[in-house]
Amino acid sequence: MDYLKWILLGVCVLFVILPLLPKRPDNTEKER
Amino acid sequence: MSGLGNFALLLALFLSGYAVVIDLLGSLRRDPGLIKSARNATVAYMACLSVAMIALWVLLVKSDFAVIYVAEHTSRALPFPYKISALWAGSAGSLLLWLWFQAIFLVMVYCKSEFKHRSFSANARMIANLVSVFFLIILNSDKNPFELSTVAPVDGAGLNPLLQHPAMVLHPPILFVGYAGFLITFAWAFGRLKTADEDNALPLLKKAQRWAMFAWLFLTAGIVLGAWWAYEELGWGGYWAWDPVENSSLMPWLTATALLHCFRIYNRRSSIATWTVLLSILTFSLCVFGRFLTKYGLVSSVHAFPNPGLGILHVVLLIHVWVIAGVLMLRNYIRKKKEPPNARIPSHRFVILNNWLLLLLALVIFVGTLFPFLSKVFITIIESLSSQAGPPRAPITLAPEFFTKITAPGGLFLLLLIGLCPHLLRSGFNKSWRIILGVIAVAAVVIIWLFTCSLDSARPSDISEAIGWWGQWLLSGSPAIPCFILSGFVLVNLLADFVGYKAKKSPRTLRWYGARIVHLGVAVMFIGIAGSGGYDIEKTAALRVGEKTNIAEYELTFDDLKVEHGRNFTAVAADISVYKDEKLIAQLKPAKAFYNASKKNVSEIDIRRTLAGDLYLALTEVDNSQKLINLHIMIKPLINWIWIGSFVMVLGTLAVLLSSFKQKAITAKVN
Repeated sequence: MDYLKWILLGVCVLFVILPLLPKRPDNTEKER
Repeated sequence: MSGLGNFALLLALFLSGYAVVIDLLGSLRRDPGLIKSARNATVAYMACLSVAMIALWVLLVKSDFAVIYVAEHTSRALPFPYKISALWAGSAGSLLLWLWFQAIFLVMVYCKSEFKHRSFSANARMIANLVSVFFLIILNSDKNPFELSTVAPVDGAGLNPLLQHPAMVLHPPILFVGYAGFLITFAWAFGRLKTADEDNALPLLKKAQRWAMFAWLFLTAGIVLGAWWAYEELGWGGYWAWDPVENSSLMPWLTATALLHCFRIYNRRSSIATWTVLLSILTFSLCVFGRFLTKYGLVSSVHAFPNPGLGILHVVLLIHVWVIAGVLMLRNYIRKKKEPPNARIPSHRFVILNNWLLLLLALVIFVGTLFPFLSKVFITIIESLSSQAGPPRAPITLAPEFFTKITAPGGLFLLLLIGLCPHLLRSGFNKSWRIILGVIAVAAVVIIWLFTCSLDSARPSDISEAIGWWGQWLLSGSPAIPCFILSGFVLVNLLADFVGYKAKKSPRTLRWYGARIVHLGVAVMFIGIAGSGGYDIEKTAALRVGEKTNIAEYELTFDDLKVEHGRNFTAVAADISVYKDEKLIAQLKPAKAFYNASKKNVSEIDIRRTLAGDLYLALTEVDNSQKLINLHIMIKPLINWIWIGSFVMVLGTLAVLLSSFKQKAITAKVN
């Protein structure tokens, strides 16, 4: 069952970190 | 699987803690990236709790007795539905279920990506996640449902036989949906306190209104299901014992009822806005405090789990919550000092009166429930101050009659207000005030007069003696008669409203009908409460096979005693024939069951139900060798009207909810 733990951890960390990554300029414009 | 569950719980704790900090930072720095990250952390935390729930269900169904929680609450012979419901049979599982509902609701309401509510949602989410952090610390440390035992037993202890009842399968989840639903209004209140731009928060106000109603609906249904279970399963013939656990669900229900009325007439320029915020925070605080009260062992209860553990964290959480709320309120008060004072809206007076009354009732129940603890503290202080050593004094516990007598006048006054409700809306508020004051003044004069007549035996006259007797009966006995009168008053007024309401400004909408149906249900329920409480009859009879006994108009014959085998129990059932006017009207089968796994004896009652009342039979003792039974017989007049009234209340609330969703759909179409 250990691999399930790693999958859960990986998915959660990715999901939380994604919005913190720097965006491309066109996306920033859209957001504004 | 237990390792996965454990890991998911730990990850959920980190994610909710992260969400609190990042939401705070994000709203301070107005950084959409941070706020989005906190929002995603909340969604991930909900996913982790879902994984933990599934893991625990799998362990329960697989009967993995290496896990202590599974071994303590299930056995191999336990039927499948009860294995599923065993998840909320213990303290740890029920906390997990509550948290799971909270997380789902939180994601549904405050994790949407609408830009204009982003700041409000972040503030609301922050406080909701703070609550989750406290609960998850308790769950991860001393109430962990995935804790493993050193040696796995061959079979589990089984589910408590008293919990093996359909009502008990449904009662806890329904109640927890209610508790968790109030987290949404609680978080809304903090968002409202923290966010300066109130106009942006208006759509969220509508959402909070709907969630308050949704949570109230489930809390009502949960409380009634619990009462029904107590009546059907516990065998003592009652449905409400003023037990700390029951009180801890009634207190938030009372404040939530006040909250619903405040939301209905919410106006941010009047004092109702402050009431709404305070009642939202108070209602959820009472839900949390109720859990602490019973699970921490502060007062003894039949429902309590005796292990105190980290229960004190509930109090730490509540202190945090009220300090934050206090600081924010003070800040808002200082800011608003320059603005014009609140508008005084006459129609709000009645809602505020209603609020005070419900708060007073909640306060009385709160003090009464805590009384054993308070008296213990008081005795300890007195004993430490006095120099003489005496025998130790026991703490004082209040009898159920105390609660009944002390809450009855408040309940009756509420009925009066409900009855006057249609007048308040129809004939103008100043006139209605005069009607209320007139009714109260007349009632006070009559009661004082009756009371003095009943006391003054030196002034005998036929009329005053008769009235005095009635007065004494009215005051010292049950409040059933005034309850019937006021319920009748409510029913007549509501029916007159249904028939004669000529609305010019507000047409009859589904909401209009729904609100009145809820009030109708309350009146019907009060009729049941008065009838079953004021006129019940009971007796105990020791019978051998073939013997008879009488109660009221019924004659009961004990025909036979039989042994029956179930999947996980063995029962001894008595065949009782019930005759009325020498005609057989029912055959009842009360039993005493022995549950093999838990080694517990449980009385299985049998009831003859009619709308006029129940004939309730419970076996207290059985001697199979001598064919001898001890039978507890009760007649509970009008008791089924409690369940009917509650059902009507639920239907009415559903109608109001439906109308608010309809309104939402229309608004969305227009926009």
